Amino acid sequence: MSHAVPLETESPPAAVGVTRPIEWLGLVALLALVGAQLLGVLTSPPDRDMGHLQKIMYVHVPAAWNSFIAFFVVAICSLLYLWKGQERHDLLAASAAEVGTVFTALTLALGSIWGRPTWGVWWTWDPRLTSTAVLLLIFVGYLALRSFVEDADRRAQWSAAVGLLGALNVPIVYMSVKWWRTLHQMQSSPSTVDPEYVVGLRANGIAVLLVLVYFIMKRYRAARVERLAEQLEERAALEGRDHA
Amino acid sequence: MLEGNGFVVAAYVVMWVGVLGYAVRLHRVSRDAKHRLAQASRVDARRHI
Amino acid sequence: MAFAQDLRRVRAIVWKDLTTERRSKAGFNSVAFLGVLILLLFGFALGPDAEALRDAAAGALWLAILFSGVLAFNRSYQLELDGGALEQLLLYPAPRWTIFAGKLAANLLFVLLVEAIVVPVAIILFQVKSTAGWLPAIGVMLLGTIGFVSLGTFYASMASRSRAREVLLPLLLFPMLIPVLLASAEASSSLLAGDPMRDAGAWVRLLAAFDVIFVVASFLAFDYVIEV
Repeated sequence: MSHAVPLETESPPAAVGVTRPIEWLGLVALLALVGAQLLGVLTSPPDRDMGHLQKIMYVHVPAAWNSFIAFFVVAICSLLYLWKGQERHDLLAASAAEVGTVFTALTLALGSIWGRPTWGVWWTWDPRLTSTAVLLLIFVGYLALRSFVEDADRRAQWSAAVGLLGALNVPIVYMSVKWWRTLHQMQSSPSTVDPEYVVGLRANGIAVLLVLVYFIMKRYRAARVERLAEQLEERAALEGRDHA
Repeated sequence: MLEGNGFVVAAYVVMWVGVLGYAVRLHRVSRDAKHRLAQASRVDARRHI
Repeated sequence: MAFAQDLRRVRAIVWKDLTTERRSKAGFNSVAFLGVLILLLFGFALGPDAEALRDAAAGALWLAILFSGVLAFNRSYQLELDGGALEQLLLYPAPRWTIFAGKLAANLLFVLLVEAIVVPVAIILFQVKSTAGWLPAIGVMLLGTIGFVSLGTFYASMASRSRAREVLLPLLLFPMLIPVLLASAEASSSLLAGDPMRDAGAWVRLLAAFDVIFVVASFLAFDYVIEV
């Protein structure tokens, strides 16, 4: 299905060499994360109701924000791929989906750890919690599709469609779960944020955003290298191995 | 309260395990990809001499 | 004029699929039987308490429909793929959406026929007391089925041509269907109880919005998905 692609655009050794700036970004992200967490933990007074439990907010909430950013990137890149058909959009969407899945899983795990001491249960059918879980499942499906399809054009085209429909469904899922819960009546989640926590929360949000960008870029770079290798292997397979 | 603080520690541990674990995985993935590309381009170069 | 021709093509595909189905019948019978079987299993799992059964009826019915119906979608493409017929179908000088529309209509009829067997069985097994709300309940059923079948037909066009299609289709489809499951189960159980909370209307609107959004989206996306 995929056509032979000319490979002269980028000589392979050069593509392997340019990793420096990304590693710097990784280091900066790491330092920012440590700094932001120290800031958050050291400066915030214990919460009136939750005590020190409030400090979980600094890891849980930024992870949630950034997983949404990642899936927004997936949706945009899927749309761009369907529109323009450029491989880089497909690879970027795939990278963002993988990183976003990791962050969503973290969000759920951290939410669960927060929920146990505050609500007394590991899991509650709260709208946000539940729709985050559905989001995770949708993108696990997306990644499964990618791993089950070998042909590169097919994989790109199909996963762009799946990513787009999945993103389209997120607000509908959220709304339906919200109605479902309000009709049955449950406790509300601790969503009110005192102003004294806002600075720490923002700092952590930005630090995690840096980590997210580093992860996506690193994954994207690896995906590019993988594609390049795949194309070379394909070419070798097509021309036969008589020269080797 | 003590029990509550245990949860805080657990949350931060889980978070760091997740982030560092994924960083390690990414490192492996990109190393494997580079090896694969180096291998493929060696084969390719040999055939085009 | 051109549109009338397209409609004829859609009809031809529907007719072809249904004829294949009618001649073999094996697919329909086993899918319908599986639906009944799932209902029975739910009955055993929930216990013989009539009150508990009645409360769970709508949810169990919808799960039975989802789990049995999902088997139909891959089959509808599998039959095409076996003889290389899909390539032939794509070669015809017709817009791609006619293929999707044909498959969608055929699958819709198939699932509605399965429901015609499974729903009465559910009413009997779960001892649903039929009240005035049965006519709108059928409407809810129809709306839910449209959402289910349009997404199912769309995802099966990919899953059926991949490795591990049996696992991949439910993995892709079921998370997407959570709004359909919630809305259909809530609306129909509310309607069957006489709509005491006056909340069925909101669910029906949600279902209708879901249907419109995803029928349009899957029609648009099918062009991209089928050409590779």
